[in-house]
Amino acid sequence: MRNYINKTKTTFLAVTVSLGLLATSTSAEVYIDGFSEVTHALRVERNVALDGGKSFQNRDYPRGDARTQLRLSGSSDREEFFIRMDFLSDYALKKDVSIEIREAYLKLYVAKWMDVKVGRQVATWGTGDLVFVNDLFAKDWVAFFTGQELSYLKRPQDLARLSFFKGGTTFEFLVAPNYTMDNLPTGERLSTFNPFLGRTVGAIDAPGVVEPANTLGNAELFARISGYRGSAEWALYAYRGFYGQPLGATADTMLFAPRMSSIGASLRSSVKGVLVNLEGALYNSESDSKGTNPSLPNTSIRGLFGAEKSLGNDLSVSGQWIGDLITDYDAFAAAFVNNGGSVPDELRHTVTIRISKLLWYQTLKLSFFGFWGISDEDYYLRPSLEYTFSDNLKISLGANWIDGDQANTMFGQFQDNSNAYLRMRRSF
Amino acid sequence: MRHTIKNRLKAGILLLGSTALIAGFFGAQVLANELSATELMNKVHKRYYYAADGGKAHVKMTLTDKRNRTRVREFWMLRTDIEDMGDQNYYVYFTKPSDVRRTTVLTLKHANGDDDRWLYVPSVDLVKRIASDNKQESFVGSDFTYEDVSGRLPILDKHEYIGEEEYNGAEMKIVKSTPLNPKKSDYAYRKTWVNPTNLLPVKEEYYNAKDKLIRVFTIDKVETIEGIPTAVTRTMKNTKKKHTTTIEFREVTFDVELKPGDYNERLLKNPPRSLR
Repeated sequence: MRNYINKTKTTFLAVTVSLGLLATSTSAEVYIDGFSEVTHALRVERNVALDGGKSFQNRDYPRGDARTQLRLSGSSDREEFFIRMDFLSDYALKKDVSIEIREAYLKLYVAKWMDVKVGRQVATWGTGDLVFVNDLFAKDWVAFFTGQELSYLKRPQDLARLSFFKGGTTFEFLVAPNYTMDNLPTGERLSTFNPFLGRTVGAIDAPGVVEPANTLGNAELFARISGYRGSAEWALYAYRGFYGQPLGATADTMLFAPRMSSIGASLRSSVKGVLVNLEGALYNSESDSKGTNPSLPNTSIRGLFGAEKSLGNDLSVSGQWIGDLITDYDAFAAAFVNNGGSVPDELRHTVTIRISKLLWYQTLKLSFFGFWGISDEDYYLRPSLEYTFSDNLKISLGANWIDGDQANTMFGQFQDNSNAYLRMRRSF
Repeated sequence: MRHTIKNRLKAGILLLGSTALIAGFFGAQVLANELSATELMNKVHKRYYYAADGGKAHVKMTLTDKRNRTRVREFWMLRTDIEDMGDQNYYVYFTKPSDVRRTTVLTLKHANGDDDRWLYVPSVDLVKRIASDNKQESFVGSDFTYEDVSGRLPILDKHEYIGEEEYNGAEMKIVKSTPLNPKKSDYAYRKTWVNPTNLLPVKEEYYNAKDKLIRVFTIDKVETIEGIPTAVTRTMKNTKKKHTTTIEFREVTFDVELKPGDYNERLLKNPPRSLR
């Protein structure tokens, strides 16, 4: 497990929390609510790679945790604070009770034309449905693959977010003083692919990951300009930082997240009752501009087209096509190290489908989400059922079914990790 | 949204003030008697969905199922009209249950064409656009449809008088409204009991194609707020499923806090201080 809260982050957080407490003392009242939740995910197939794992439980369930989340909020005329923290007992990994500060921020309404939100927070933008093109904020794929509630897909980041408004146009600029990598399977809860060994492995054989040093020069920068025109929404995006995943390899068989900058755009509108979205981004692999270095990712372009239609009676259907184009493909293919899989296509196609249906006065929600890697020949299916017993009690049942023909593709690398989960939440 | 009810003659009552109020109501009654069914329903619609130029209310919605189990949703609702009987902007900020607290919904209602609707989920900082061409779908799991809440324009129906009846101690006019395009509604026709004095639709019955009663709407309590008689308690009952939704409006004001242009992503993410 990577060191999640390092020294700088703690300092940053401490400042925010103190600011929050200061705000609390000035605001009229503090509102407290939250929930208690149990999530239990059970493996539905044998995972040979994990049999050598250090913990017996890993073989049976990738997630078993009980948590209580507390949310504290308060506001005055010009400011607002919000703290969301989880008290977590993780019985799948036999960890002691821990506290996760998921959000702790202060929002300042500086002027009619400016807001500032500083502290630990989650940020989301872009138009994809569980597919991210210009949203380069940190994700927690382990939570996503093991039955946690969807909000846990977003990994909290320490950010300063400045928003400027003029007419209907918004300009946003975010700085993350410290880089946050996506949380990806490390062989503990879920097996992962080790490109150096060319096979799927558990924690013992998982490749080491080096994170960028916490220096000012390694800060992540995010920007967006967005606006409306009629019922159409447009946005332009820019990013400078690192790939969210450790896509680079060092000479001494360690993985790291290489430098990356990106620009992109999106458009979303309702066209004759169908919601349509279009998004694209160029990911510039700064350290491998010619695409000749096999241990670094090539510059690539990602395009997304999506459509959603509500069919009435609380039934809706949507689909997306995603295209990933590798630039300097000849150089890439020539340099590709054939280690456990074939060379990826120059243009890779992925499609997703979502069907959701609400029943019984929206107390029962049936949902199906599927990813199919057309070029990669892999898939990831997420069926789920959620029943609301009362305003305070909700039960969810679902599955994460992941498989692929090859061990080095997007979902293929997580094969043998399929699981079914049960989640129970009591809100207060 | 059905949260604010206007019951005043547009210019008259507002300008002449409270002494003219009673005269205004008599005027309204005389007027109602002379109106065609379509004209009457236009006035009802305008006063029910376009009261003042907007407003604010805290809404408590109680959903009761056939086994008498209840669920409660509470939210603030803001409305700003762009044009009478035309486009309107709505903003909803949920306060209960705790699972959806801080969730907001922004609706740009278009009189001609589909509405634009966005949902903001604060736990993921997600602005989700909602496919909203289906106005017959349930509003947050209640017996009210989106159309019940934000209004169905009278031009979509054919209206005719079918009688008068005493209801709650007053003589009501009964109007039958039949959708011109049956595919665009979840009922075959509806009957509305209109109070000619205050032009409130005190009761509505919805029927299917087999003349079977499917839903009943009633106004249970009226209060005069800022000179505007307002239906502060309303109920929709699904007779087949024996499911009922009651809406109570509290802290109703007809102050228009926001300009039409304020209904944007910033509002979606930053609820006004008065609601937080």
